[in-house]
This record gives sequence, C-alpha cells and structure tokens, in this order.
Amino acid sequence: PASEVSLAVAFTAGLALGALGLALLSQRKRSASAVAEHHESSVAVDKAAALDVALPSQLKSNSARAPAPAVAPCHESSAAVDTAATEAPEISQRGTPTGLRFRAAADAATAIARARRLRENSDTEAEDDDESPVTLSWSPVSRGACATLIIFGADGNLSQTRVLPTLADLWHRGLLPHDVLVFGYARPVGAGGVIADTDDFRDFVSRCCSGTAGAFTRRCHYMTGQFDDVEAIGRLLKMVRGLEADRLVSRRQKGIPGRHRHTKHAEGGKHGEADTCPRVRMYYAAVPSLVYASLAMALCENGAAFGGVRLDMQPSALGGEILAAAERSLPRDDVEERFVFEKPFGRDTESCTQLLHDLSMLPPRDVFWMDHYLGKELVMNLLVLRFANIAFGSLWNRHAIKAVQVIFKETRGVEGRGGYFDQYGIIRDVMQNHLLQMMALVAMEQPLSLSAEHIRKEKLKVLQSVAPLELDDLVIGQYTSSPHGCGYVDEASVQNKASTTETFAAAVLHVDNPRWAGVPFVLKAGHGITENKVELRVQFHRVPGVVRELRQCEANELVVRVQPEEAIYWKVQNKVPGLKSNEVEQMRMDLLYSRLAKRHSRQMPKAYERLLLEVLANDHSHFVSAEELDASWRIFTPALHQLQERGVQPEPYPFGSRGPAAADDLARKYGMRKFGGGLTPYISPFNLNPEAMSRSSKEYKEQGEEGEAGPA
Amino acid sequence: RRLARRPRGRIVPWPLAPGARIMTFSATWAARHRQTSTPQLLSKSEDCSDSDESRSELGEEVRKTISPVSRKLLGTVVVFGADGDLAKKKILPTLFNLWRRKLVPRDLLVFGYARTPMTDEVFRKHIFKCIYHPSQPQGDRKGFLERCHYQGGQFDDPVAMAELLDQLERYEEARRVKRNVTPVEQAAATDLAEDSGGNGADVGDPGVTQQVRLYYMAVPPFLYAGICGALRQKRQPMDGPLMDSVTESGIFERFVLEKPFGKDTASCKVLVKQLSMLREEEIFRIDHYLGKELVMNLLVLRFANVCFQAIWNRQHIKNVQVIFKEDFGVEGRGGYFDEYGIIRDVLQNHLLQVMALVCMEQPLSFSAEDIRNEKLKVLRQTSPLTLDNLVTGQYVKCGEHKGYLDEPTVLNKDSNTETFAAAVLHVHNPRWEGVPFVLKAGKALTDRKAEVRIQFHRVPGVVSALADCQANELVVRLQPEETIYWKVQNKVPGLNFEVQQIRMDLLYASKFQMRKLPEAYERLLLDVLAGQHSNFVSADELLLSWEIFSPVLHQLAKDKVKPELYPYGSRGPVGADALANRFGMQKFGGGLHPAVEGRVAGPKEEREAPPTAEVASAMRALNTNGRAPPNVMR
Repeated sequence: PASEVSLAVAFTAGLALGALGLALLSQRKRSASAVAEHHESSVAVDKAAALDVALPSQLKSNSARAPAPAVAPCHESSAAVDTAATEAPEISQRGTPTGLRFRAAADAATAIARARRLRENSDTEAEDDDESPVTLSWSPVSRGACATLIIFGADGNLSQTRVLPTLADLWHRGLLPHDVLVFGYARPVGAGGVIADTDDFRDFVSRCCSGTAGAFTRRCHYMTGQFDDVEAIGRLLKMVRGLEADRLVSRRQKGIPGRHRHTKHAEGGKHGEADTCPRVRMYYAAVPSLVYASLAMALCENGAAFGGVRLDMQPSALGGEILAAAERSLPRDDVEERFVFEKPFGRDTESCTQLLHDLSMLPPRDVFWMDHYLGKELVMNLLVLRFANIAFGSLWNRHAIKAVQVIFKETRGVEGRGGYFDQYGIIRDVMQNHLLQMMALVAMEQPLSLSAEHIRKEKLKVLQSVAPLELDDLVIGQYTSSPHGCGYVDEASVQNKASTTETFAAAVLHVDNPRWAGVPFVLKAGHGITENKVELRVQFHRVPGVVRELRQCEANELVVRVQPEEAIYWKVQNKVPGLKSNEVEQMRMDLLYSRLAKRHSRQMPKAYERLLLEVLANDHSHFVSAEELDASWRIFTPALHQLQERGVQPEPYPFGSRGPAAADDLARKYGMRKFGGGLTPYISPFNLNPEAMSRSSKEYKEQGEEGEAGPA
Repeated sequence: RRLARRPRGRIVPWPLAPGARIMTFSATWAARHRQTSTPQLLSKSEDCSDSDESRSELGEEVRKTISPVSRKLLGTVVVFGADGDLAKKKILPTLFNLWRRKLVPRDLLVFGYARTPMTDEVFRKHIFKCIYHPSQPQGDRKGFLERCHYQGGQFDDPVAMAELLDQLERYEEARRVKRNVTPVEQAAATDLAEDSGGNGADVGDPGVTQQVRLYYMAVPPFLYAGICGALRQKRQPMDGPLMDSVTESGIFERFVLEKPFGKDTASCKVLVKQLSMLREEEIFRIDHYLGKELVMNLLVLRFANVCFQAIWNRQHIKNVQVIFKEDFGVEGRGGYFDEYGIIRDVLQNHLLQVMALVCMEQPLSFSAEDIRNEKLKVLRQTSPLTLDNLVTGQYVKCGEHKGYLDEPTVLNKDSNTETFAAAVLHVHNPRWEGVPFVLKAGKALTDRKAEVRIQFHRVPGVVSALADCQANELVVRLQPEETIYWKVQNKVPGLNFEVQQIRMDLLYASKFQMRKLPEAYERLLLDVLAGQHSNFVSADELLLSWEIFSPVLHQLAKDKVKPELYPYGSRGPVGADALANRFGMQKFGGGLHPAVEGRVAGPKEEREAPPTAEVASAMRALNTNGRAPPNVMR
C-alpha cells in the first residue's frame, strides 16, 4: 500500500539526513581540512541537492531540520551518508516489496552506523596526524563516469578473494563512480556453479567482504550460463544494457547528466576530459585461461567489442590511427570496453601465441593483461628510484652491481589450488610473469618517457635481450611432508600422486647488453619455505682495492622489500660509535614504508585496487603487453620443454625448510654463498619468548652467518 | 666475562640468540613510548650491536676493555692553566668522567698548575664545582678529588716548575711502590714499547706497564714555549735521540696543545720553531672536531661502501659544504675572539680538517701516518683562498640581543673582526676539479648545527616526467643529534604518480639507542694517553692549512675590509647568498629545520624557517641604511 511505502521512505530518508547533519556538525571544527577536501564536499553537496529534487515534497520538512550543507564531512562519511540517501529514492521509485524494504532500511541503518564510525575515526585520527588523506582521495577514474563491471567466473576463488572485496572497498571509499553497476556471471548451479541468482550473489558479495559490503551489494546483479554459451551471454549483455539505460535515465532525473561538472578534478587521466562523461564497461575474465577464447568469441557475437566494428582491425600503427578516428566518430552513447585477463597466459610460447591469436578479435588497446605485481607500490617505485636519483642511477650497471635477485617466498603450500597448480608449476605461476616483470623493471634502460607505451617498449627490449634459460642454471624442488605441513603430493587437491610439478625454482638469467653482461639475475620462488616475503636484492661488488683495515667488510646491498611491510634499505658499512676506532659493522639506512604511508595517507593502495581503477581509466602503464608475454615465454619455454622431455625430477625439500640444497650449489656457481640475503626473524621486543630465542639461535648456527628465519 | 652481570628484572637464558634484543622493563617501556610503531626488522648485525651494547652497559669490566688505554698504564695528567675556562669546562670534567667510568687507570694522578696560588684543598673545591652532578654518587667524586693536586706558579718560573716536577716524581714514586712495579720492569716495558716502533705500547696489552705524563696546555699559545722549555730544562736531555722523548726514569711525555696555533703562516712557523725542543711524536695538537663520532665515521663510510665510494667524484658531486652554525654570539670570549675572528677560530682548523677528510684519496691504511699523508696531499692541492671567494660578516644588535661591538668583552668598538665567514675553496686534482668546497661558519645565526652536505648533480638526461625532481644530497650531521641521511626521490605511496623527496636515514639516536656516544674530548684524551696520533693535527698540516688562509687574512687586515653586517639571529649576511649564486647554488646549506624535527623525514622541515619579525625588520633596516655590503660591491 502506498501509505506504508511512503512511511518507510520517510523513515529511511529522515535517518539518512539526520546522519548527514550529525556528520556535518562534527565537521565544522575541522574547517581547515574541509578546505583541502573541497571538491569532495562539493560532490556531496551536489548529490544532496539532487536528492532534494528527487524527494517527495512532504520530506522537505524533514530535511529542513538538518543544517544546511555548507561544509561537507570527510569523504568517507559523505560517501556513506550519500549511499543511504540515494538508496531511498530508488526504493520509492520501484515500489519495493516489503521484504526488500526492510533490507533497505537495514542498509540505511548500516550506512548511518558506518558514517558515525568513520566520523569518530576521523576525529580521533585527526589528533594524531593532521594531514588530510589527500592521496587516496585521488582516483584515476572520474567520479562522474558511468562504469559497468562484468565479472566472469564471479563465484571463483579470484573474484571471491580479490576482485569483489576490492571493488566494494573502492566503492565505499568513493574511488569508484558512485552509480557503478556490477554484474556477476558464472556457471549455473547444476554445472559447477554455486550461485543461483542475484539475491544469492548479493549474499555472496557481503560474505566475501566479511559483512562490510553494505549498500554495495545493491549495485550487484547476477546471471548464470556457460562461458561459451552465446545465448546466455547475449541475455547477460541485454540485462547490462537495460540497467545501463536505466542508470542514464535516473542520472538525468537526478540532474547528473552525461556532462558532469566535477570531472575536472579527475585531471591527470586523458580519459577524464573536462566535459565528457566516460562510459566504461569492463569485462573481467576471472575464469580458467582455457575458456578465454570462447568467452571472447561469445561476447563479440553479441556485439561487444564495439559491435564488431573493429573485428577486422589489426594492431598496426596505421590501424591505431584508424581506430582512434573511428572512436572519435562514434556517437557519445557508445561505451568504451575493456577486457581484463588474468594469468596464466598459456603454458609456453606456442599456447601463448595461440591464445593471442584466439583473442585477436578484441582490439589490442582494449585488452589488459593483468600482472598484479606491477600494481604493487614498491614495484612502481622502482622506476622513480632508478631514474630520479643519481645516487642509484649511476651505480646501476655491471661495474657496481654483482648480482640481482628477485625472490618470492611463501610459507604456505599450494593448499586448495592444487588442481590448477599441478598443471602449471611455480615457474609458470610466479616466475615467468611476476618475477620476470620485476626483473625487467630493474634491468631496463631509461625509457623515453614514463608513458605506458615507452615503458613497455623498454621492458620488451630488455626481455628480448635475456638469453633463454638453460637447464644448468635452473634448480627445481618439490616440498615433502615434514612436521610443519604435508608434502605436495599429499595435498588433497593434487590429483596426480606421482606429480613432478615443481613448487620451488631458482633460475639464473643473463641479460646480454652492455649494461648487464656478466651479472647474474636470480629469480627464486618457492612454496612451503621458511617465510613469506617478496623482495628484490641488488647486491653490489665489494669495494675494489679496499683499505687494509676494511677488508673484512661486507659488500653493500640495496633491498626493496615488496611485501610484507614495504621497505627500501641500503645495507651500508658504518663505524660502530664508540672508542674503538676501527670497528665497522653493517647497518641499514632505511626508508620504511609503514612510516611513510602513515604520513601520507591512512592506507597504502593495494595492487588490485590500483589496477582495477587503471583499467577503468584506460591506463596501460602497469599492464603487460602481448609482445612482452611472447618475449617472456621465449625465455622459459625451452627449459620447460626440456624438463618435461627428460622427465627431470624436482629435488625434494621438507615443508618449511629453506628449499633444496641444490639451490645453494647453483648460488655458489655464481659466487654467492646462497641466494637471498636473509634477515633475522623479527623478535618483538614486547613479546620476548626465551624458548623461541634460544631455538632461533641454534638455527643460526646451523644456517651460517646470514641465517634465514627458521620454521615458525 | 659475558656472564658478569645480567639485566636486572628479567631472566634471560644464555647463550642468547645473536638476534636477541635484551631489554629491561624500562627499556621496553621507553621503546613503546618512543612510538616505534613500525616493528623494526633489524638486520642481524644491528641486533648484535644492540646486545653488544647492553652487555657493555652491564659490566664495568667490559668497559675497560673498550678503552684504548692499557689498564696497567701509570698515567699522570698535568693541566697548565688549571684555573682557566677550558680546564673548568672541558678538561677536568672529561678527566673525571673517564676516571668514573674506569676508562683510565684508577690511580691516575691529576696535577693542576696555574698562576693563582692555591692549596690542594682549594683546588679540589674548585674541581668539585666543575664536576658536580647531583645524579652521580658522592663516592666517585671523593675518590677522584683525592687524586688531584695543585702547584701554583708563573708559567715561565723555573723554580715553581722544578717544584712541580719534584712533586710529580714523589707522587709517581709512591704510586709505583703501591703498584709494586720495579724500575727494572718498567724499563723493560719501555724497551718493549720502543721496539714495537711506536711511542705507545700495544693497546690493552696487559704485560706492559708504561708511565705516561700528559701535559695539557690550557693556556694561551704564547706561553707554550716557556712552559715546555722549563719542563725540558729540568731534565737535561741525555745523549742519543731516544732519550729525547723518554726521561731517564722511562717516562713518556706527551704535550697536548690547544688551538689557536698561531695567527698565520709566519706566526705558526715561529710557534713550531719555539717548540722544536719537543719531538713531533710528543706533540698532540687537539682539534676536537676530529674526535667527533661522525667525523671519524667519514672514512669508513667513504671507503667501506661501494655505494658511496663509486660516486665520490666530480662526475657526481656538485658541491660539498661544511657548515658550522651557532645561535649565540661570542659572549664571554670577546677578548680572545676579537683577536682571531671566526676564520682563524673555526674555518682554518675544524672545517678545513673535515673537508680534508671528505676529499682525501684513499690512504694506504688507516694508520695515523698514512691518513696524515693523504690529508697533506689534498691540502697541498687546495689553492689559497682569494678575497672574491670569501664573504665575511659581523652580527649587529637585534631586539634584546647585543651586537658584536656591544659585547662588553669586545674592547675595540671599531672592530672589523668577522663573526661570520663563507669561503669557497677549490681542490685541484682529477677527482675534484671544478667542485666548490664551501666552508661556512657563523655565530649568532638561526640555529646551532655542524654538518657536512654533499650535494649531487641532477640526473643527467632525466626522463621528462621526473625533470622537476631535486638532486640527491647526502647529509652528515655532526651535531646536534648525529645523523647520516640520503635525500632521495621516491614515489609517494598512493594511486597517483607523485614524486617527493624523502630521507633514507641512519639516525644515530634511534639505531644506537642505548649507546652513549663518547664525547670528542674523552676520546681524544684517551688517545693521547694511549699514544695514538690519528686524530691529531700534524705540524705539516697546520702549516699547509695556514697557507690556504694566510693570504686572504692579510689582505683583509691590510685593506681593512669591513665585514657585512647581519642581525643577531638571522641567516647571515646577504652577500653569502650572492656568493652561493655565483657557484650555482641558491644559498649555502640545506634546510634550517630544528633538530627535533629532524626525527621525521620529509620535505616540509627542509623549508626554511621564516625569519622572525624582529630579524626581518633588522634586515630591512640594514639594507636601507645605505651601507651596502662591501663584498657584494666588489
């Protein structure tokens, strides 16, 4: 009945406005920071105004109680309040059934609670650190953009652990356009899927985000079907188009037309030109790479990829110009489409070429090959470090550098991923993509500019000058049962109990160019190892012709720790303060990111956050190009094939150990005692445990001078 | 020995892991409140240093082994000018501290000698006033005071001097008896020391009992010759060069001289000649900057790290600045200061020595002689300072603060003595050709600081996106709060691409939390007792450094060049900035951040503190007075 609906609407809207008012009051005293965040506030004010228009007139009396929105709260709370506010008219328009109405009310209540919590947080934090969170409020995506995200394989592991939580978080922080539409697509329940319909999916989303998804779930929709089913995908696209059209209508009603006046804040992205409202549709393929081709085909047949306009376009320079021209001539209503693919991109050179061929109907500049390591803060920082500092730049060659090591270590085994992992192995899973990309960034020459195109060109060049890996320079291992965990073949998810898939690999690569000739580049990756760590170690030569008294000194080392706890540090020799005149010890000159991040913002952006936003912003800088894929497979394919042909058995190593002993032999071959540097395990001064301490001392003795962490 | 004492209040199993950090409750508490919110992943070596340190904090036993002075040493310290300012402020407290911390033998003898007639008792009362600190136990002070004696007399009075020597001998004899050392044994020790080639025994060698007399000249330099002559007159040297340095009773004599060593090349030569009765090995010319922790660290930093060593040349380094700033005026030292000026007081000795350490080539070894040879080489390659490359200044009244000429201790009210000087030197060798070395010193400036700034070139051929980046800089701050840091460019964490200058640092205060850095005087006095010459200035160096500054000093005096005026508490005269501009710098020095802010890295504190209203108005007044700065005019 209409009266009940309007009552409910009045209730939710009243609550929402009340919350807005509360937040506003608390914000008054922080006028300084409010100035800094002026554009945030103007968005909020704008939305509040739009809301006023949309609200039935009897609610005006309610809104009159709230103070006029002169200064808006910090952006998180404004976003949350906004959410609550905009949900209300939507409900009124659709004539909500009772059950949903309660849910909406609950959502609004959550949003209010959230806003309140955020407000409190921001108040207390303001005392600690009065710097405004400018950094994270900047988003490469225009806030006024019409964005649609379609996730294929929405019930899978990747979307569950990474994509959906990231999206929800971005949305809550106001980094995604507010009226984003999220579509999930996966196989039906009968055919291996787990989600039946939109309601199920929303529950699923809020479970993924451990309950913090809130109103975000209302932006999610779902449809089932096989990935190669042209008709089902057609239905999906129909739904997508329908809801996109609805959104456009509702935007017009709210007075937020395609032309959005706040887009000028999104400068820096070429996409966010001042007077256009980009319409982006992103297809995220979180599905096994086997179905990429059929999925892309099904999408194209349903008119994706510009309705087939570009089907016959080839990725040439001329083609690029034609594409650009075609794009300009297209009506504004058309969407820009982006296709995101996750690793693995094939198993070797041939399969990768095949995959690229199969996907060639997609315009290459709209395809994003995702390597999430490229989105990590410290990996992105590598270029700045190298090219903005003469202190690093001029040391960056074979005369000063003895070896470069890129190391990936995980304490966990493969666990649930056995089915996938057993097919690929760690070389394909980690080394060929993540570690090689990091290495390329370390080894590449200075690009013409820091644009995506130029960086990719230089990376390609250096990858092409890497000699294919030889079997002599490769050590592989597989973890076996130990008190710390079960062996690889004992994992439930590994079907082949005689598998020779490697869970550890150490490879030495050589870059044949004048800068790097003779410098070994070590890539090392392993599961079931002593610690969790991803780092880059640049090891320098000892000082040539050193003074007699300093002969015992260690060489310098520059360590870039990507995770956990981002840090960059120099290991330098320093005189020990004190009366002894020639006592020297190794010390760290460091730049701990936890300190830095605290100064700049509350949170460091996660790789997925950054990359998803960059896809929407059409920024290719941190994505791999097809040519790079090819070049990186060429490095590893011969060795991978040889391993298979010769049936090389991986060397067993106990779960939780340092890895197979042969890796140390390989290290010795290149003049290192072992790979990696090895830090002492961190012993918290607040949590001294005598037993742990004496145990680790024993392990030090066993593992030599630079011992690594013992099993936890 | 390691087990000697454990930290109180916590049971710690032994052996400790090398990575273990021993922290007593209070340390833990302190750490928590120091807001080390970032769990430090300490490298092993650091951890070792920590545990090492905590050990040395624990036992007095261990401390002794750290000292370069043998425990068996029979040491006597004679302070000439014992009633003076230097003795009161530095020497006596330092001696007491060394004695208290057992870094010198317990039966050290301390003699004071000065013109004031005093009894031992009065002298002890005087010392008591110098060393009194409420936190230290009474027993320590009492014990130390018992070791102190006094002899009054004129500095060139042979009778009083002979009396002093007699007294010394009496007390030393008594101590020998107490220690049960026969003269034979001592002679053997002396022989051993002579055999080993040095004039000191091997450090910490327990078998050697040598007797050392340290004569500390805390008097004006013109008295040096008289005192040393009188000391030597008593003991007519026997024949043979050996007996020159060792008295017949087998005593090593060491003469510690304080600056100023003359006023220019000529007077320095005279002074050197006057002291020719002493052997060079017996003379220890103190330049207390050489005893500073970070100055001593310069050589290790440079020669043990390929990451510094490889870029230590003109291809990478744009300029080097050695900066000394004080935020107070001359105060009580006006009489002395007016005669010398800041160039002689600070530039010619302290700053030039630091500069020599920064630019010298790698020595053959870190022995005193090899280092001295390299320093000599680089000083020879430094061309004498010219007047164009020098800006002098004198502070004037600003607000409540007196100007230099208003100081009651400055008698010449028309004085041209400079209280600020900025000089640019050039070193002509393949490594440094074309790199300006800036020595800047001033009193009554904005803050108190001594630091070395090594400024690098911008990245040549930089990517356009990074074109706005600042150049790198390596800063070694000697005081206050010792630090070494790199200023590097780094991406600001976040979604956008933004580059910012940040600091990669090695803050001594945090890395060596529990370690008390030894003071320069402590270290140097121990070095003298141990006979180590590395951290002292040789006569050759002295002459060479005067040769760099003498011409310009003479010219300043001859032309009666007026120093440019600057208000008390300002950044110094504007002429300095003009000089900096000529060498491609905006201004000398980096930021003016106060030391406390130095704990947090970032570009903000690098920004210059705006002059206070007072200083600003004083600057304006100076500029409009029509007294154009003479150096700029030139």
